Amino acid sequence: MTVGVRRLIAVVDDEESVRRALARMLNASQFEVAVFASGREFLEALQLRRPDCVVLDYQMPGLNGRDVQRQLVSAQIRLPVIVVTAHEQSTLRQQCLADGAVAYLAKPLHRARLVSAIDDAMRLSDGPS
Amino acid sequence: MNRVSDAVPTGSVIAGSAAAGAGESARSTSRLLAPDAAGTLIAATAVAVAYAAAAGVGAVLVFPGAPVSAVWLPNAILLAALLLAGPRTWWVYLVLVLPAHLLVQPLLVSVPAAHAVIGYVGNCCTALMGALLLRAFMPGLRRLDRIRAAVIFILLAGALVPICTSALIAAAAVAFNVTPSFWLTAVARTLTNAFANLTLVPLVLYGASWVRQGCPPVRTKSAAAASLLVITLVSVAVLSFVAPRSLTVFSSALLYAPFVIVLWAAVRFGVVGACGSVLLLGVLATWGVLNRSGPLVGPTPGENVVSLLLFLVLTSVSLLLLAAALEERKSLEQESAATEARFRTIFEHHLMPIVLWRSDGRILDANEAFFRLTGYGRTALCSGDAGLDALFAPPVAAAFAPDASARLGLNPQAAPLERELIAHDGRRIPVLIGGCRFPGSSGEGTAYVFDLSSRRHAEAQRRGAELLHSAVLASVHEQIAVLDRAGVILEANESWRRFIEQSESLPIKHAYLGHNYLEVCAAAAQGGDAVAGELAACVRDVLEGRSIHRELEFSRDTSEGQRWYEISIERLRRPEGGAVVTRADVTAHKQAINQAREQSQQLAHLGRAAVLGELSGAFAHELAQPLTSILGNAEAALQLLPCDTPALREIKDILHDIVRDDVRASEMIRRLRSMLARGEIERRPVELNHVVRDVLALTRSDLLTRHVSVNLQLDPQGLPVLADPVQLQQVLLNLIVNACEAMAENPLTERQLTIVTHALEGGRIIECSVTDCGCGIEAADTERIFQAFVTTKKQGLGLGLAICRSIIEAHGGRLWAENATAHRGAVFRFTASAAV
Repeated sequence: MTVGVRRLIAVVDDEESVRRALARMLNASQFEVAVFASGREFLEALQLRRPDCVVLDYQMPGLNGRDVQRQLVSAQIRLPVIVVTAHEQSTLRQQCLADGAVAYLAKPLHRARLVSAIDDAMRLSDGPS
Repeated sequence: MNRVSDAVPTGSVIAGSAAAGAGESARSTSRLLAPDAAGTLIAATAVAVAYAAAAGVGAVLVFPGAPVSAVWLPNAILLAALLLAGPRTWWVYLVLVLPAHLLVQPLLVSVPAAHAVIGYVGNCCTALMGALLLRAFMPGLRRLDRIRAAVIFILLAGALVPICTSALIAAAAVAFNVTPSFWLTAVARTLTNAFANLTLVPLVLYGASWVRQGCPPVRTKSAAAASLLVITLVSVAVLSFVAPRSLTVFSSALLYAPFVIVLWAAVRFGVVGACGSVLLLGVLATWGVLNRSGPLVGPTPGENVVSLLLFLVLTSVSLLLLAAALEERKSLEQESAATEARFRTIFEHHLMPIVLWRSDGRILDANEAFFRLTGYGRTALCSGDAGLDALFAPPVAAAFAPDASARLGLNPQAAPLERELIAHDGRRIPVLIGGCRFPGSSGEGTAYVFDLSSRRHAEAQRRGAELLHSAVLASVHEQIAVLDRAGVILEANESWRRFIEQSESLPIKHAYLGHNYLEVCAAAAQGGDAVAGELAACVRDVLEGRSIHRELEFSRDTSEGQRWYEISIERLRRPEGGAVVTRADVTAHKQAINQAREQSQQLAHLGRAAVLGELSGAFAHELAQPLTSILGNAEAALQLLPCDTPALREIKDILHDIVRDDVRASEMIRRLRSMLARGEIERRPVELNHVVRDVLALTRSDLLTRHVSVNLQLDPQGLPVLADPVQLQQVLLNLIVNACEAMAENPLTERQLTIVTHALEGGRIIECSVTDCGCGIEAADTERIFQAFVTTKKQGLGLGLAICRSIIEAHGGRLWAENATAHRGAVFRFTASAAV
């Protein structure tokens, strides 16, 4: 990813208001944002365009955050994943991180912390290149 | 005595026999009974015929050379007819006899018409006088079965009437030169009429009585005896009076031979036998005298007639008196036997035990009731084994005076005595004994015994009931007063007495026996006691039948703090009406109820807190979501504002979203707060569908986490129920959480929760069901799971469903569980009353 180019961040959350708020916040932070209402919708969209980072809600109907993570792993799609959840549980955090998440953030999300996590995730993603 | 010359005026008709005349008169008697004019006419005609026939017989029995008839029956026939007929019809008989009299006499003797009329008048006067006197002194004369009746009859019909009328006729005969001898005519006529009256009139009367009874058949034995009697009498009479003197040299000695026969007749057949036999004897004797046979043949015809008639009259009188005496005795014996039979029946079958005793204390007889009571048999009692003294305790001899009547205190005025009767088996039976001595007996009497066992038993039961009643009233802690229909206090227990003594209200202190409770309450109400006024109204309602039960609860501030009292007024279930007032201190009960309610509320609150605790993660998520939106939007706005050209439209949208999310978070907090609140239970109309949706909003996140989908089938009409909304939410929350947990082991695609609401019974009842797709409930557990501390879950106290059921039942509804029928899983249903 090149500096000055707006990075594409995918926001996956079943709640529209959350999607809209996160999209606004990330837009204001100079990110390009694509929002998805479910994990299935997100996974299908990957065939068209791959985001630079995914802000993935854990608790969603259908596929939850971990399910999406597993699907990415099984499809060998390497994307930095930031799991966000209202359930701040250490067990869940460890599971998500073990599944490859670069960050596990509890809602509500502060902009600085989310942006920092995205930056860190993308640095990790860009690092080897 | 009727001479031949005056036999014509007296209607001497020679026809038929005396027996035929008597039979005819008997037949005519039955017709005389006919009440109509035709019957009277027929009867009078028959009498006239009999009159003529008898006159003929009389003419036959006239002595040659002596102008008298020994047997002159027409006057007796007419007298008997008048006695049997009503006085209003007498004139018919007298008129019809006249032609018979005038028609017959010229055929017999040629006399002047004037003389015949005198004879007719004399005969009529004889019959009329006899009838009037007998009716006056012997009303309703039909029988001569009493000595007194026979004596009166003899004096009137056999003496007074013949003497008086014969004296007048004799005087008239002398005046009209019919006869030169007044005395002979008078004596002869008197005797012949007396004989006829004494014999024929009773026969006619008895014959009429026999006809009136429907002519009952004569027994063969009697008929045979009568026949034998007639044959014997005729034989002896012929031998004594009719046979030629040459054949019966002892004819004078045989004068009394027939007397044995007529005595037999009188004894055997009574008045009928006596009169009939003497009449027959008279005819035969007259026949004998006419033929100058028998013992009564004297030197002159006149002496012969007088002797014969005197003999016949005296015989008639003697036998009539004898027969009357015998009949009277027989009648008295029959009456006595009937009376004894009646009293014997009463004695034997009387329900009251009766005993007949003797002055020495022995028992003569007793009835069945006495035997049943004592257990003794007749033999044992009447043989003297058990005397009165042995039967009664204390011994009656000591209690009563020594003479027989006083021994038992038995005189009609004495009050019965209470004693114990010692039965055969030794039982002592309380009895009341009374009685009297038989009048005129030699120390015998009767005693009746009244068994007091039942009465004593009833009295003992009544006393026991009264004692029990008093004991119950005394032992009841509540204050109880019994009022009559007017409100007057009839009875009160000890607790009531203490209450009114300790009462600080002056009017209430008068609420005791004999005082009117309504007036007491009214006085207390006038003194400012509002409760007393209300209480009086309640009491009046019950006393006047408007209510059968009223209750009143009130509190008083006392030195011990606030005390609660409950007064109940119950209608007294008896015909006279009345009421029972019960006053109870229910402070402890009230406190217990309040405490129980508080504990129930606390328990319900703990139950809610526990459920909410289980859902805390879901609630945190539900709050975090809007907070995330708010925070994100706010920070986005902060980023946008510093720009030179801030995107105001975007900022406006952001602010709208912030407001909406804030409202959402606030709603969530409100729901949680209401669920955790510990306020008083308040039942009000609540829309059940709204409650369902509220609870689903609370659990949305949890349902999401558990991958449970919801199938809502809410009644579109809306279902208002009368309930406390928080408690209703608690029940629904419990059922939804339980349903989710029941489906925890199901595949993710088989976790469906179905909630249905609908109305029942025309909208009066609302039902809500929560159905899961879990493994269902064991049949044995469908009730057990509602018991406290019973749970099928790994965690939890097992109070949730118990609390839910108590909540629903407190709302007047029902909560139960069953297995789903369409698929596997359980259904929990509850009902509640619709808010009208």
